[in-house]
Amino acid sequence: MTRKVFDDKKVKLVAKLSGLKFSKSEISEFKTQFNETLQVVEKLSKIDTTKVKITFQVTGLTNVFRRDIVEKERIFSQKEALSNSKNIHEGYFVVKGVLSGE
Amino acid sequence: MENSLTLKKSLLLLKKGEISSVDLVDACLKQIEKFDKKVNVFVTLNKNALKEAKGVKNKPTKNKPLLGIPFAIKDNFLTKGLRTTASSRLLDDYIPQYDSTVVKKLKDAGAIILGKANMDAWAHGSSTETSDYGSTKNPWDVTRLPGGSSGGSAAAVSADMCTFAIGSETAGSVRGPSSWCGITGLKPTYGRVSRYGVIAMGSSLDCPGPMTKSVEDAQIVYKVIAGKDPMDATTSTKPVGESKKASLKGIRIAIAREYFMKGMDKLVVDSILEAAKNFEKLGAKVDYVEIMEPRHAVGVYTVVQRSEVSSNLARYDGIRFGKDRTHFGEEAKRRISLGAFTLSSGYQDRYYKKAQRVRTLFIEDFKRIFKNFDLIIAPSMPGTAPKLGVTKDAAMFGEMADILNEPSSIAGLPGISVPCGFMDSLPLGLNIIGPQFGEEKVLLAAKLYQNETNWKHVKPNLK
Repeated sequence: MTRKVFDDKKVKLVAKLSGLKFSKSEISEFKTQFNETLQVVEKLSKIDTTKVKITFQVTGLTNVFRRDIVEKERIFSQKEALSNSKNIHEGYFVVKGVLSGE
Repeated sequence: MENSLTLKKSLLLLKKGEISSVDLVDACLKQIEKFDKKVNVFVTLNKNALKEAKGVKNKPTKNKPLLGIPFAIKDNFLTKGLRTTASSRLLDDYIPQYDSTVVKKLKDAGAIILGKANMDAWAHGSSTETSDYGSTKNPWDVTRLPGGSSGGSAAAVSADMCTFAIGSETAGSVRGPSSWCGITGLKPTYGRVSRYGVIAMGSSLDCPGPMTKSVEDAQIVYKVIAGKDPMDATTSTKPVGESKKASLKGIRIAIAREYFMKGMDKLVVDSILEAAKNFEKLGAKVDYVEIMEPRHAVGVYTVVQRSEVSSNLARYDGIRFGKDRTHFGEEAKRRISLGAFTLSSGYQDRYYKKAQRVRTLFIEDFKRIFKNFDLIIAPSMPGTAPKLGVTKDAAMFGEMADILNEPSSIAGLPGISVPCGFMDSLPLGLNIIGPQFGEEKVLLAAKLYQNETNWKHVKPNLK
């Protein structure tokens, strides 16, 4: 397995997908480390799984429902909900703009 | 001193009125004051602990089974009004508005929080070296790692800074540090203990568990924290039991050669074979079995865990709580971004879905073994605690250190690490693994083994 999956461009792409910023040295360091990690992971390709079902829930639970009721003891007051935020405006969280331009 | 008592003994003396909750909390706080600069266990202390102890007027009862008992809790469990950081600067000023279910159950049982124990930041690691608040040190040798990610909890128990502690395991994070710090650590079945209010790492794997001075102590805490929680849909309605049998007659125990890995010290293997003899003495039948190569679990775990990390840590935007994403440390950045890659379109089939299929093979392999056996025994870790600093530049340190815990973790199985000997004066751990929801047998075997041996009585000599 000598083919390298990650180059600088791909490292920058996954940073963008993750909402993270990497420094120049991080890009070069992560590129090497990601390729090393994927080499370990690629060993799985040798195992035949064509007839194997995929696991999503390990103890076999499916469709766990609950009643659609309001659990008052779990509800924060507005004051509690805002208590950890650094940027509040008239009782609301302030978020960054998503749209830009005209 | 009262801080060195087991939970069982503390409860007994509290009930007899020979000690008080104040004695226990005070002794723990003194031990913390004396040694925490050296060991670095606590990220945040509960300043009200002594006051809470003074408020305890009654003796422990059935409804308040842990009344007045001080404990340390890993810093990824939300504690109402008490800072919770997951050892990351991103959450440096986060004060939770609610308690995790585990904390709520322990508080309802009357237990008193001493403080929040250090861990690998976001539980990403097996050393505590990725903590933004500095590494915890191993009480047996402060130039060595305690293991992780629940390293602070393990060191707190080992150094007698608390009566018991709570950790959490994704793959090895309870059993690994328990082994390296010479204590008992139970990783329950996935879904046996609620994850509600635990800062999520790998949601299909995470399991809170007790870290204690004996198996009997682990059993007491386990009974308090286990059970169905409507806030965590993956918890099970199965009843939580306890076996009071006095022998292992009729119990079949498997040993796998695949778990005696190349390069493993002979003393590690010998400690397990010695344990096998103990089990035979207790009435169990021990046989070799062929098991799926644990190295494949490293690949499965790496992909599943990073994928889930990438999804879970997407919520930290610094808007409702915490700081923004520039405050993630290097290890979190690595895991989030590689996880985003393994889930991305074009690569998902090759990595994520492939891993989840091989995971099925592990589950089926364990099912095959548990048709003929009750338990599997193995070393908890391939060796003893390494020196501080070894994780630097080793991007896969944790995944390789936890290789013997990853197979059972990805299959959702319960396991316990109990002290089983020493190598160069450092503790070794015996891993006892059971089928899903097989905690009763796991705890019974561990308890009888521990009563048969003397390892738990040997304590580190902190100066």
